[in-house]
Amino acid sequence: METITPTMAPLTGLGIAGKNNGTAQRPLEQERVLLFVGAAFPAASMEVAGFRCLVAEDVKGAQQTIAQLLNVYRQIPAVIIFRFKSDYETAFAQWESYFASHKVLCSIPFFLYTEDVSDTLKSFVRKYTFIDEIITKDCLLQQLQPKVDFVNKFKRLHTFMPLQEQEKVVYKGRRVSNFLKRTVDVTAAATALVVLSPVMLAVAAAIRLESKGPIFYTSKRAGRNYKIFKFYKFRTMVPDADKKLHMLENQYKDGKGAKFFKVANDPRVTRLGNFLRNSSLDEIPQLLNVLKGDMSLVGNRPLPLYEATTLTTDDWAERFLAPAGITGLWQISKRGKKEMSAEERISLDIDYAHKNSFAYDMWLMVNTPFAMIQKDNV
Amino acid sequence: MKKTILIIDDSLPIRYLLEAILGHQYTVVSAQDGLAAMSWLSKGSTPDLIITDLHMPNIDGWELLAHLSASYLYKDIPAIVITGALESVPDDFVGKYNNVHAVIQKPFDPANLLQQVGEIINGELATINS
Repeated sequence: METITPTMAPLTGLGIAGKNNGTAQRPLEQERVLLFVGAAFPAASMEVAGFRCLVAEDVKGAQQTIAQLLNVYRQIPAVIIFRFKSDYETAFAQWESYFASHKVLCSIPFFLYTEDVSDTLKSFVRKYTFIDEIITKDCLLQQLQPKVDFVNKFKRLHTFMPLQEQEKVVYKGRRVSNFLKRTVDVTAAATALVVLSPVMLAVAAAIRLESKGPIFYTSKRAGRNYKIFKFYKFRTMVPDADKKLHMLENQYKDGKGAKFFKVANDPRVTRLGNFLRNSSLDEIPQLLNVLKGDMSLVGNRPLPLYEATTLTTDDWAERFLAPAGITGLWQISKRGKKEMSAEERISLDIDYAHKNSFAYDMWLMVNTPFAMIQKDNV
Repeated sequence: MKKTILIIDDSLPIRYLLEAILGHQYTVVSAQDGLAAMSWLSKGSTPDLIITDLHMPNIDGWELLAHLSASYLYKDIPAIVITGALESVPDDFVGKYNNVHAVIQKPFDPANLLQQVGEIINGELATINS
């Protein structure tokens, strides 16, 4: 900051707007100073609410005023309002260089006063980052205080509380792990589909023999990052099961809203479907989803859209940051236990999103066979 | 050139989720509160749409929207409010802040959000083009 000789004749040569209306009688130290820079103060005969108005004719005069305020009154203006005029390029360059060498003054709100706000002016002003706002006469007289308060708060926080680094640690930067995971997914899914093709043919034939309708059941599911994809399973329910869901929801819902809708002894499940579910054979077609990249072998259960939309909250959205998978933490820890609440399942999903790594996936896959046979019919 | 959306939310998972949902069609910039958003805007950046939460530290959504909607520099930027406390939003909210086009409650339907974003951004483009 440049050296300024203190003066005992404060604000010499400065116009004080509104000095005849009583505001000039109050000590300057106790007031918020509005420094207007321009030949004519648009509110010369009026008081701008909440401010003691000082007027400087040009940039040089304004800078002298700021120096006097600093040295004599130990304060800085609450706001600088610069009247837009034709020689703005020179004036803006002066202000830019002034703020560059007086960093502490960068926290003063700096407004550009004009009577005509055009798009050209707005785009021009955006190039000068020391200008915080454009104001007109109406703003000056009616809305100045909230604008000054907001910009002042922002600049104070911005100057004295540097922005925290955004947290980019938890879900990114796992390229090696993701590459390994995808390699294992494709290799294992392709191999399993080849090996299990006779089983798949047998299951398909059995489904077709038991009841009319499609062999596969497809539904839209939300996976990682809420990516919506077509989810494949062997059909285990009667052909129009989805249409009967609403009826069952009304019959079984506890009134609190079912985030994960499960019904014990669901009447829509066929006898063969019951066997396929208990043996998890119905899930073999999901290997196609794995090959397509919609899912992984290990991850969070991909949710039907009616369930997924209930989880886009601050507390639960984290579950969508992990991949969707055939097996996962939920399946090996508590699957099939009746006492499992929706909140517990979401917590497990979020837990997996935190721990998600190639090594952890391997551990879950090794433990999956022990959880394959379900005890309860849900 | 892709349009730019500024997302302001103090929940990191929500920011990631919104980035992922909107990132295919738009350039997405995210800020953890109104302070970070204002810091970005004050550098001369102008998004085509702002999606903001209301309850945030430092500078919250209420303060931010009040400033932006009354500012000659920012009032033309449309905004969508996405909040977990819809009951605290007054009925005349959208009318009060003329830049706010929609208020959405968390949990939200991402497909519905995408549709609203498209309509607002395309609507703005139509206005500009006409």
